[in-house]
Amino acid sequence: MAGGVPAAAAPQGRATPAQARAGWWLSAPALVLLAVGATGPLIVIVIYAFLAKGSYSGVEWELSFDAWFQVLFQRDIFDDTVSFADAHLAIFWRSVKLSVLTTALAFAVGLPTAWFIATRPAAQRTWWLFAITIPFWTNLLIRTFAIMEVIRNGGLMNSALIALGVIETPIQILYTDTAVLIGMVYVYLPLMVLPLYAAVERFDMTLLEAAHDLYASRLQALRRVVLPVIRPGIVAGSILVFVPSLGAYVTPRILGGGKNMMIGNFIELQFGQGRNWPLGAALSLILLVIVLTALLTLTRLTERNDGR
Amino acid sequence: MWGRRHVATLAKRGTAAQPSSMTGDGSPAVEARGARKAFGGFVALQGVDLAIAAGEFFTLLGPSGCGKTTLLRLIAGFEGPTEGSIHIAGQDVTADPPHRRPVNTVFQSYALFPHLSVFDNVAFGLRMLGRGDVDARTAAMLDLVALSDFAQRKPAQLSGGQQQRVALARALAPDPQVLLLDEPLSALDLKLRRQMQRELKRLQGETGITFVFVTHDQEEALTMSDRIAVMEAGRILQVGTPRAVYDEPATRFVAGFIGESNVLAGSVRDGIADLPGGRVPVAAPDGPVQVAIRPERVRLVASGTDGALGATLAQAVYHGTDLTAHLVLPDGTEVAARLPADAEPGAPGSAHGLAFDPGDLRVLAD
Repeated sequence: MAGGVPAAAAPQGRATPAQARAGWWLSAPALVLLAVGATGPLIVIVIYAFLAKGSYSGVEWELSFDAWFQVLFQRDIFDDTVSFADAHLAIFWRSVKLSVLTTALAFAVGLPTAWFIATRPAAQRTWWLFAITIPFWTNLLIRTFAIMEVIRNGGLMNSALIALGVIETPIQILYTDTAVLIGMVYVYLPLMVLPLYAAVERFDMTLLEAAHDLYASRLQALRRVVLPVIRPGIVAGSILVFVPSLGAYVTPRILGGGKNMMIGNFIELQFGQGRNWPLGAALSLILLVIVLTALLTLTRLTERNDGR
Repeated sequence: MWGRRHVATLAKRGTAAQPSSMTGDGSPAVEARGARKAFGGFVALQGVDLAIAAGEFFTLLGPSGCGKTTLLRLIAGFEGPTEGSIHIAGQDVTADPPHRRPVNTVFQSYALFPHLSVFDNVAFGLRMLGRGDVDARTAAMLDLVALSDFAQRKPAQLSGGQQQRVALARALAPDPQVLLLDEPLSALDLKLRRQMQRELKRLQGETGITFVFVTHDQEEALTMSDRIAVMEAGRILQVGTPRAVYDEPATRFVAGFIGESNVLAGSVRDGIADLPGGRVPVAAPDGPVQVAIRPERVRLVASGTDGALGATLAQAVYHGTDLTAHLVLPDGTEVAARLPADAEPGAPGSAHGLAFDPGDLRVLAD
């Protein structure tokens, strides 16, 4: 960009060398933090993924592809036969499935919420948004245990349903995928509502009238006009919910019990009891790739919409 | 230009097919019966009765807040009346949502769908109706508003005047029985506005569709309309042809809002009005009276002329095409007289007589 442009002809707004230096100094703290806190660990993880596992924990400093092999296959400890590690795949599948469901449910609940807030008088909106952020004030663990209290067999929901005579024996929700799903939707819902609200608030309501005027029913107006126009908000909200859902650790651990693991728990297991750091590192990288793929796909969806 | 297809359109919508308004079955294209609209404590429209004939270019004229847009929104179905009913081509549509009314709207802000191309914007209504001739009809509409070369552009890539024409083509495409236009020209500059005024008249003539046009611009209303309803404070004050509302304003508000008017107050006895500065014959019952006279209908004559009002010149303003003399009657009432550009009314303070044809004097209702 800058190549070949004489300094005198440089367009306005281009930084002088002094300004450029000042810019570097100002961003230095952030850059150092990123290098130490994100890039550095990422490099360590990439290296670990190609090392052999240590006897008790940690790594042996020799090149090995065992970890990548173990992601998909398992070797029988007695006869050394190789079989497909379907348990691993099940965990990946459950993680992606639960994250997609979480995103979809958060959207289904979040859009009406965002619409409701955006159509309140301006003075009220601040209070509603404020209310949306209240859960953030409480520790995630406490909120998750609160959900547990609501859905467990002797908990609020089951007691109420039994008292009302709807059911006779408690419904087992806790320690199932449903419990994890409920928990994750609850935890990540605000991250969906806020970008959706920003998009709906900018939405010109006369477009809705124009759609109805041109013979669109409510559903057609929603599908043909509202959703395409607020698409950037939908994509932003989906990214903000999907990405942390995929890496969720606390919620599936508490509400899913020990056996309904998600990728996050599985990775933690490798660095803890599993004592297989290289496998944990490889799994982390795979998670990273899934997230990046999802992000790129969603971003391209919006770009296609913006073009021409 | 095209056959009128809205009968088939109506049948498709599940509404009983009515004979076209063009066949002259007698029912007005649009009718409001006692339509009243209140928003909380604020009454935007106070029981309006109105009948708009098929094929008419009908204008709702009034200052902002007079209820003209509210009335338009009641016809479109965006609002329901608090009381009263709305009828379109003889059908009571009061309970029908906008998408079940054979009516399309050109919005003040155009409300073009930003994510759709010009073509898809114009085709939107046709697609919602499930019409088979979407492509041909859309192309014809784009041709009609001379935007065929812009079919694949997004609205944001068009000028204001082009966006205006897309909005028009989009609303005309489904061939509605009634086209509603909510101050569609207010965002355009004067030159473009004049051009669009002629364009709208042409389109209305070619399509034969009933146009209901909302504006606060009296000149626009006078030049374009077949009939005008002058509104103020949620009421219709007068309905008539442009000539009728201009020459025979019913109320002081109409007289002042449409063009300029001199309003004189006096009292009548035996058909003679005792006005400041003189007496003139007036067709009004005995009692206090208000009369209006247009500046261009006032002539300056020599002071003391029989039947003329005595007045003093305050100021003469030269406009190039004409000259306005501002005069003061003995009681302080100001009167403007529009004179030929070469008139010489004399120096400020000089005495004059104001003469006019008694037929040009309008007795106001309030």
